[in-house]
Amino acid sequence: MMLSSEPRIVAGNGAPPTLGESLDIVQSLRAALNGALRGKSEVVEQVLACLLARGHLLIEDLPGLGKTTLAKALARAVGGKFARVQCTPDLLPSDITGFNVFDQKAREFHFVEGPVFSHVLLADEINRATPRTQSALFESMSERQVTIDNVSRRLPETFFVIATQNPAESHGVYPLPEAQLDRFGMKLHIGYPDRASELEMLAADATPRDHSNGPVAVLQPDELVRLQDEVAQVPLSGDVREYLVDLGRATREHRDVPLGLSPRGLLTWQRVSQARAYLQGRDFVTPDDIQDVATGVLGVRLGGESEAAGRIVREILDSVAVPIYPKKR
Amino acid sequence: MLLCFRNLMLTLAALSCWQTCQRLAATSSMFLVVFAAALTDTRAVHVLLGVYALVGVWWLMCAYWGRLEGHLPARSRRSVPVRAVVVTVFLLLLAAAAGMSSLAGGTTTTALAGWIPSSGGTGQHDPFARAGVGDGDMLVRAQEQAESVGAVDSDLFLTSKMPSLYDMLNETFGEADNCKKHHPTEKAIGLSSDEKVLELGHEPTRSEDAGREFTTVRRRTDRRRRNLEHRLSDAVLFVAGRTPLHLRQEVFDHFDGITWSRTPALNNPLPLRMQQVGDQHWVNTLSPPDRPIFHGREVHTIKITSLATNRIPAPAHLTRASIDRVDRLDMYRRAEADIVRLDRTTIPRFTVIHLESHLPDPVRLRDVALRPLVAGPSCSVVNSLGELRSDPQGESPTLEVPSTQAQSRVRQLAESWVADVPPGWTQVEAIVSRLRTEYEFDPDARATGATDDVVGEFLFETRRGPSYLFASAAAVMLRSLGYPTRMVNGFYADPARYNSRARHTPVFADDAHFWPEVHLGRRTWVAVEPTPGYELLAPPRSWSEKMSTVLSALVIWLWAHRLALVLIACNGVAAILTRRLWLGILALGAWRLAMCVRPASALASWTVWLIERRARLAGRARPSGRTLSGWYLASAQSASPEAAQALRQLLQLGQRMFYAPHSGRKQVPESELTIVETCRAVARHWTVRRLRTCLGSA
Repeated sequence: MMLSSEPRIVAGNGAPPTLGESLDIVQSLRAALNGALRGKSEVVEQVLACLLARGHLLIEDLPGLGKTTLAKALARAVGGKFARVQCTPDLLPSDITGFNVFDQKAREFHFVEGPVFSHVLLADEINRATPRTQSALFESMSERQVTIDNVSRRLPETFFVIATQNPAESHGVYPLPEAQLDRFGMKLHIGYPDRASELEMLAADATPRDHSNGPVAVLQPDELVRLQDEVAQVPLSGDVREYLVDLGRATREHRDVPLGLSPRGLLTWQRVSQARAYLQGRDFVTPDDIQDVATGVLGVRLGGESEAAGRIVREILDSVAVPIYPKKR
Repeated sequence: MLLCFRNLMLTLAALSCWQTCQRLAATSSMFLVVFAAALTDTRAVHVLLGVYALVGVWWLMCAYWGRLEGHLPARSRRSVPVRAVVVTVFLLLLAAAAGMSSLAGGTTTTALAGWIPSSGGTGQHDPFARAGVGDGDMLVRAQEQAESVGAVDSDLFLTSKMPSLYDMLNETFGEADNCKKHHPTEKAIGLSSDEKVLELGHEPTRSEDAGREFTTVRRRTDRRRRNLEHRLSDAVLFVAGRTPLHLRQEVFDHFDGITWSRTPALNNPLPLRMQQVGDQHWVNTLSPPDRPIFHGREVHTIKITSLATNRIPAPAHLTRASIDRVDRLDMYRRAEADIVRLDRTTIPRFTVIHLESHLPDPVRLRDVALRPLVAGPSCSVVNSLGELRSDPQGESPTLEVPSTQAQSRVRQLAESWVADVPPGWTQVEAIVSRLRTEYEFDPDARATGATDDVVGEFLFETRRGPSYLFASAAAVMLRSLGYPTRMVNGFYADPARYNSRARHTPVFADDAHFWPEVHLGRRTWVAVEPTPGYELLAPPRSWSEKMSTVLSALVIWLWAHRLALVLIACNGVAAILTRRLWLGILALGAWRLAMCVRPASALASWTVWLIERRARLAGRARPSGRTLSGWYLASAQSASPEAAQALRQLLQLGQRMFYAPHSGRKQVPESELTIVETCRAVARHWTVRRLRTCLGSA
């Protein structure tokens, strides 16, 4: 069920919008998400960075912490079609991608689109799906297309998957293989809200419900494409790029990391850092941006136990000196 | 061959990143170590062997860790980086070898010995060696003389250049001034002695007995000539053993104010005895001393290279001597009561003589009951008194002093020097130490010969002179105090000349030396050394004694410089305690200079530099892995709003300076004035103290 309110600002077809206008859009997006998920502005920032970097998002947390709320709010704010799949072991690939049905009247096959044909797909408890179903989803995530009966069908350009998984469960789950985890841009933990936010949340819930006051779509999918293109153009100086490469190499040398960062992971890290800088209203990337998104980007890639991930990421960051004064070139 | 093998091993070790090379290197190193251990039994090699065994066991453990691990209980899952450890150990060994070879001063040729055929010798050089490349300049020069070859009994021709002691003294101290020889006083005193008359009845003196006197009035020598020509080429003799060492050659006991002369001994000397110990034949000169003044046995070996003498240069209290293959007692004679000579004209060159003597302990000497003899009238000879009479075979110690006009002054001076010193050896030490400290050693000074009393002139007027003047003065003063004293000449083996490679001390003609000896009764003459710069051989000291000496010297030095040390310590402590202040001031100064000199665009980075400096001084340095904002902005929360604002602005500026692409750096939105203001505000607000409190609380 989607709200169909008008997008707030749509730039005219003539001149491209300036950075200031884009930042306004980002600000309203941010406000929409913060309204849905109270007291978690940092998580919202990370989610936005992942969205603008065209990465998919894996949220790992305990039940009831707002995973689905966040995903729904995001889908509504981005606009476009939102779909949700509750993964279970008996979920089939065709349940996600869609299937051909023989139309008796027309005497021909008719393709029924699955939930994957949407702008935002929420795959709840993805680790409960069988590997076969998971891999069907992963193809659509990396290629942004699905192939059914030798026919490839394109997905929307801004196709964005939010997958959630529950770390506490251990029975009947199929842990995502490392190679497929690489398809995700970031892995985030939401965590419990602080006391003030919980008070606020309870107070808000006790008031009469105002249906018109939910998150509204603040941008259109094509606007999202434009923002993503702008993010891709945020420049990195040579020093910062070297720093990023050194960090990537450091992950491969760390003794507790079974699987170092792949070049694809490095590309993702750069893009997410660019998005982070963009979200901060800066037109260049600083080492702060790289460090801020490191936990999310590396958490999904380095494997190992997730409890140690924070420590490992901190050690990796500490092992590489941050460039300060620009080198003489 | 062995060197080649060693180098091969080292190369294999260097290439030990390959498994095969590593194993080969280990095997060959083991072979080398076992081989080397079999060749020698030095203790150091055994220690090295133990260390090698430890390293080897470690290596084996590392190399077979994988196999061992299966048998060990799985306590730890951490794997040992086998290859890294092995490579590191070998690299360390290699580095140590390289370091040692470079420390040893080896050239490329020696370092590569075994790889490259070379006739460059071992790289070592010893001027006294008998053979070898580049070796033995001195002896080769000496051996090339025609007269030194020949294995006959007298292997030197008459035209030998080998100097006698007489020549050497003339060369070192100048020739005797003959015009003074016929001084009336000297003649009168010389003839007045009974012994002198007796001497006339003796047969004409032979060459080795000729010139047994020494005049203290001498001509000057050309020191430059001596230094250039004779110093290096002709070592008179070599001494192996502890130095400094006084080697006796001649003894004088009669002094007339100018000339020292020898009174022939009246008593029959003690007979020499021959004793065989193993292959060696020793001639015993003294029975082992029973007196408690001696510290212990001293062993020396001397080799005479260029000295025409038949007297064995030997330290005092010589107990026995030995020359290889000389097993006949009649080869030895006594030249004096305690000087042994060979029964031939000269000791052949390169004769090696082993000497064993006893060393008096200066501390125990103080306990000897030494009574000054009661001297008669100033010019009389007192040679038999008290205990001395009970020693009929002893030398006749003499208290004779020259009857010159200055003698009474000398006597008064000596008495004033020992006025508050109890009689005994301490008085002797007092005289000697006053001479050593208050008079100046000058080998070129000469007595003028204007007076008949050289000692008086030296003591009261010139106050400087060569060793024979010191020795004469000490002898006359000690005699006037009642201590029988005689004059000895010979050689001084200077420890400064010690050749550590050849382990011996060469003695040159320059080392001809005079010193007095004091009689302690029972034929015991103990040397004293009044000449500054010369030392007597001290008993070997134990480690604890050495340590205590060093410690006491240190304490004395510390006490002497206590004020300066306390000042330095206080200043040092103050500087250390306030170092943050000083360094902070320095950093601020550098920053101010930069503010004046550098363009506005660089100011932000200079200010960041200043903040980084101050954080380091505050002990809260930014870890290299943390970003500027991540480290400093966290602390800005607890600061005042304007300080936090300034810091935030500065860091934004800095980020643009540091991380924006080159095109973006130019477009600093803030004006220059704002930048300068921000920088000043940050420098004002974020002092070391604030950084410490804020970063500490963060």
